[in-house]
Amino acid sequence: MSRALPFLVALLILAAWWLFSLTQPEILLPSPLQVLEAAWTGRARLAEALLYTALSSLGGLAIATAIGLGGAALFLRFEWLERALYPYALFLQTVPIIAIAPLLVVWLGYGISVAVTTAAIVCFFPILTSANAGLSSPSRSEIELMQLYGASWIQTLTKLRLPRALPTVLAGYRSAVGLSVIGAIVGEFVGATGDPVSLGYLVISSSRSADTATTFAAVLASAALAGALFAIVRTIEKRAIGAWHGHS
Amino acid sequence: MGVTEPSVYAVRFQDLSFAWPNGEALCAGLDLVVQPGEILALVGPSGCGKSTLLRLASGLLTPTAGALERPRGEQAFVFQSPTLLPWRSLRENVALPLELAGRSDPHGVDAALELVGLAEDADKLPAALSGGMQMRASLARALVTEPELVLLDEAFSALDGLTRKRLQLAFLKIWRTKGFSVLMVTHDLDEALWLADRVVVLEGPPVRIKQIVQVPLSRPRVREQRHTADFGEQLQRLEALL
Repeated sequence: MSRALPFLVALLILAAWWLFSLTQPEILLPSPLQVLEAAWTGRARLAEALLYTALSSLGGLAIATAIGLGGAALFLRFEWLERALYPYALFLQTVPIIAIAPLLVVWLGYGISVAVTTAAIVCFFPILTSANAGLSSPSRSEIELMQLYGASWIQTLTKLRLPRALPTVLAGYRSAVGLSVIGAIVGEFVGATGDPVSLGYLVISSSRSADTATTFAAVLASAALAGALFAIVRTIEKRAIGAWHGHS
Repeated sequence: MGVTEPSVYAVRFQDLSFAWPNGEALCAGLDLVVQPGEILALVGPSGCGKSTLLRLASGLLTPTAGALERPRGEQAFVFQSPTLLPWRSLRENVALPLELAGRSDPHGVDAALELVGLAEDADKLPAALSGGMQMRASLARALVTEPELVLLDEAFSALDGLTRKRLQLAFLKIWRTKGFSVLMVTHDLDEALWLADRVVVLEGPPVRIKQIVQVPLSRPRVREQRHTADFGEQLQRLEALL
């Protein structure tokens, strides 16, 4: 029953959406069937947009991973560096990405680089903070155990801190993957050229031409992308830490 | 000449002091010797500094004055909690000290697991084991390097009564076979009396030796000794000192 609940909720939402759409013109609220039709008709374009936005999100995630995990390891090694840079990482998180995006277009020009950068900016912080917390999570006894056996800093990092950090880091990724899609789409709103087409571009261009059904299809595709990335993280979590996390 | 004399001590605290940077002294001018092959128990009220002495002996803390002398050789530390890395199998946990030293000795790892009766569970993760079995694995990890000195920090205290007594017995058997020296901290006077050759009653902080009690029980220790009137009398005397 608990497994069926989300599907029941989805059915209820679809039913409510369909009923409400009967009372509205298509330009305001297309029915689920009209959205499906628009998605099917423009499937080649939608698939291309989905792939392009997925690449931007994953590119952003990769950069955020390199900076976030690397930064957390450096913060652990050099406390002064954390004191010097952490406030700016926090500042970067508080600045609205929509305000930075036009500046990125000025600096980077139109194209995928803007979407990759906005994706990296928004998902960098949860990766950094979760890695920072995770790497500091070993107990005093665990750290002392490594000291007693003469472990080097690198040995302590690879054999204790990194595996210990994995549950926290992966929890951070659960937030980061959704944010990376949002970041990529915001970047595409301002920096996409439409060639190749991206989900952000599709949302903007279809809404401007009052093709609301396609806008809906693009929005749902971006939600599906975020959901798929989330599911991948959950699978990695189950495989990598499922056997021991929660028992320790 | 040329012949190495056997060490006259396993570890020696000589006029040893330790204070935190804020000046709070935990240990001031303490002298204590652990004889080779003996089990020395440290008992005392909570917060008197027992664990500080153990940490000084292990090298986790560095004395601020005096000297800590220890002949060369491996030492091992057993924590109150098993401190097993939950993502590693028992075999991998036991192999950790060797791995960190860049050594590999699969037979030694298996022998250590065999010694504590966990040979058949070697490939299990710690989460699949009871608290007692985890503590045995922790002991196996301590013994894999063939240490000459074993430091026990309330190593049996987290276990239930029956498991604790079984593990104490198993530990004594291993100690008889291997002949290492033991410096142990315990809150359990019964445990101190039953395991140790000498019990050091501490007070503080800063930690001071109140009295050193020679345990008059014969070796090898057997379960029945714990239930004799003599043992009860010794226990009462020890309690009176605290």
